[in-house]
Amino acid sequence: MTMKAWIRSPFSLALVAMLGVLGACTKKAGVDATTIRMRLPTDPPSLDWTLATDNVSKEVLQNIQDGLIEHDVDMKVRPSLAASWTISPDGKTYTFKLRKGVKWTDGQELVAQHFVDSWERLLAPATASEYSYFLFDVVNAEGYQKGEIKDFGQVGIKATDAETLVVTLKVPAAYWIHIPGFWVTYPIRKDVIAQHGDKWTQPANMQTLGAYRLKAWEHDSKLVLEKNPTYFEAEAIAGAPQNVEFRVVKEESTAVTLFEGGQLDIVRDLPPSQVPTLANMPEFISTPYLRSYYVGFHVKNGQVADRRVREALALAIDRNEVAKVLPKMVTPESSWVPPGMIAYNSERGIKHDPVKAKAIWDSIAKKPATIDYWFDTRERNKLVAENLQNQWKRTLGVDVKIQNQEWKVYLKFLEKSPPAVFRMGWGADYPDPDNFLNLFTCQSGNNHTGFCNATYDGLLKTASGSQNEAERIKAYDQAQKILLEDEIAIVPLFVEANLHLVARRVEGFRPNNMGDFYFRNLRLK
Amino acid sequence: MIRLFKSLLSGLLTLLAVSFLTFVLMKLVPGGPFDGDKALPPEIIAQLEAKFRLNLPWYEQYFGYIQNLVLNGDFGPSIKQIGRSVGEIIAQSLPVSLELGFYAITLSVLVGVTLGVTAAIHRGRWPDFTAMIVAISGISLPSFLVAALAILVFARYLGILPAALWDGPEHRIMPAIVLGLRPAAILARLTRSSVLEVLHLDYVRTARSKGLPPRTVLYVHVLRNAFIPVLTVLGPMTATVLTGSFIIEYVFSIPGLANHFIQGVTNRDYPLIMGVTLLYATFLVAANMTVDLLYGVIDPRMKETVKA
Repeated sequence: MTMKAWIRSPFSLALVAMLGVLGACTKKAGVDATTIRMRLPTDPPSLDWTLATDNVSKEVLQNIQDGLIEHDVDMKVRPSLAASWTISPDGKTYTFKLRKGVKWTDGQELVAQHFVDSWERLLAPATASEYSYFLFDVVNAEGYQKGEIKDFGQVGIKATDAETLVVTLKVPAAYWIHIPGFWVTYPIRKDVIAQHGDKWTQPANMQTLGAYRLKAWEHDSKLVLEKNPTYFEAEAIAGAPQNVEFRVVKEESTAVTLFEGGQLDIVRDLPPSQVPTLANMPEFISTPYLRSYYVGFHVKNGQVADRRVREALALAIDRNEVAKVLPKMVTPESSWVPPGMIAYNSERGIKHDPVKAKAIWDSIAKKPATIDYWFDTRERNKLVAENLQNQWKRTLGVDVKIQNQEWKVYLKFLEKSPPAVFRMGWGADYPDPDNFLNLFTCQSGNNHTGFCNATYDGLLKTASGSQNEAERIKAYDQAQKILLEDEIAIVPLFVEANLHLVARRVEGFRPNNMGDFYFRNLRLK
Repeated sequence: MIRLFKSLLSGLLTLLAVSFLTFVLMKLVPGGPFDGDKALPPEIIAQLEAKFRLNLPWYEQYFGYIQNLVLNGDFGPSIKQIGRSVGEIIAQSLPVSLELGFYAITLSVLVGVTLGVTAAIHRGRWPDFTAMIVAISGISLPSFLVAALAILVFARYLGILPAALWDGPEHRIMPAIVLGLRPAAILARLTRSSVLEVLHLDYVRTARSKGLPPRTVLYVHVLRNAFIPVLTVLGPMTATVLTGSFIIEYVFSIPGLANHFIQGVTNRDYPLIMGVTLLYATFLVAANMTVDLLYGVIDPRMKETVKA
């Protein structure tokens, strides 16, 4: 084919046409000074806060709706829709006085009954809300949820007048003040749900009362919020961005590219392989996160049933070395209660001591020939598993067989036939040690270790029932000692950091230790 | 007519078999929609299962699903995308995948056939080598790599195309090209070998010896016959491309259907898995049926075979 013939061929024509389209479509997007743009890793699975169970939905919900309380940047409880509250001396009755003049987006005034309606819906068996158990400390709440009690009047949730909500607990629970900050407890408009059914969360139907309101929602693509003119502190947030645009960008690297191209202002969950490079950018912000990662032992599994085996394995772990495989992403930690919570004790847990580890290992007559270590399929878990395998081989000479499974298969596996050693993590629902230590009680569905200790369970009960912080700290510390040092059911490895890229035009970005932040506190330069 | 009827019937049976197999397989996979990092009390799991009829025996679940689908055209509610029905999810995401797929398949037919024909008529010379290098690269390079490279070059370095999202016409270009690359490469190779085969047949020699201009021989006589194997591949290929590619949708953040397929499986969102799989199977069956019918149009011998 001569060049001339080639030029006349259909192929070259197609190429020219394509390049023409390319050129014609090239344009630069301008940056809107009133809109802040943030990445969401998925479409929010639900904006019905009674049913939502995930952090993506939470990201949206906590900006359009409020609860009785919220946590500030230092994780202190501060009033939100509740102006004030009192706790009875026995620690069982919470009386909330609502803030006056709070209006829903349709102008209707907030009353205490809206909370009662919400909590009744949350607990109704027909709703089948996954997180209904968050209210199980309330008198008769569990019975009502399980259908044993039919009359909601018997549940310890009452609106004594338009501004007063009284909650009565079965037993005193010191952590309970954190619960009304959780999104499932936000007030609800029964009339709106009755009118629109499961379509009530669509922009045209939804009634909320937060700083922003839902303006548009194109599933799997974008979700737009605009400032709520009826918000009770509208004047105080006058300087906040007028609109919030969430873009659904599933792939982490794509999100980073969009950020670098100026199309996103806030990106969370950065691709682990890029973190070391991204960490050098001025836009990189790492904040502490109440999320811990641990190695669990199934204490009844033949391979690790001998406490000395668990102790040797725990002593052989150099957490600093583990942390090196996830640079900038984690901080080594031997305490199960993470830093930032009461009862955190950096001295708790078994520390690295290879000599002692080897001595104990050698003293065991019946050593396991190999040890099985399981994890759920994810790059970071693989890196950690390989590092541990290496460390255990080096220090103890033991062969560790590492195996992985897809997340849900893994969860089923842990439940049905737990392996000798496995990895797991936990993120705080509320910033209290109870939320972390409760995982390993005999009754806990999250306890895959086979560890069941009456003293441990008793200590947790004592701690949650006490209003005295010093007493609580002491009980939790003792519980940690049993879990981590006496029984060695788990070996905490590290706490994770919350990693973000935040554009320089954004001011005031300071998420708290649970990753919460509010767009109303941000300003655009 | 009988042929069409037979073809429809076998299509329906295929769909039924697909639905049954999908149902059985997804139920066999360990883990359910309500397993998560926070274990739920068993009573709440029981309520959720009752809400989505997962507490019924498997055959009741299956036949209930089929009945609801056939009688009401209802794919059921999504378990994990609360408040959305599978029908709504499909209605919102399928048009996106169809649009992208249409661009990609059009592009791949144009480019693939042109490359294939060019290579065949210049066999053993540089246009052939060039076209086949392009084609082999298109087949060998995984699309996630091509997508990442395309983003790097056109969005990051050159800045002439957006890196991702699905907002304006400019957002269609890169994903359409990347998605169309592999089918284009397959078509190019197939067209080339097919044209080469036909070029040596007697009737082509006859046409040439009659003194017909080379262009007429190529476009009228050769291509028509050479297109039959291409058409066979084009059917299922179109179905695959139109229903979306997970990788492309994932990398370019496109709100298409393929994402839901993967998300459905990851979340064990049973109705979503069923709905998307059945839809995909329907596309495939329909594409194959269309190809069957088109054979008759392109190649009269096929019609005669059936008549005989």
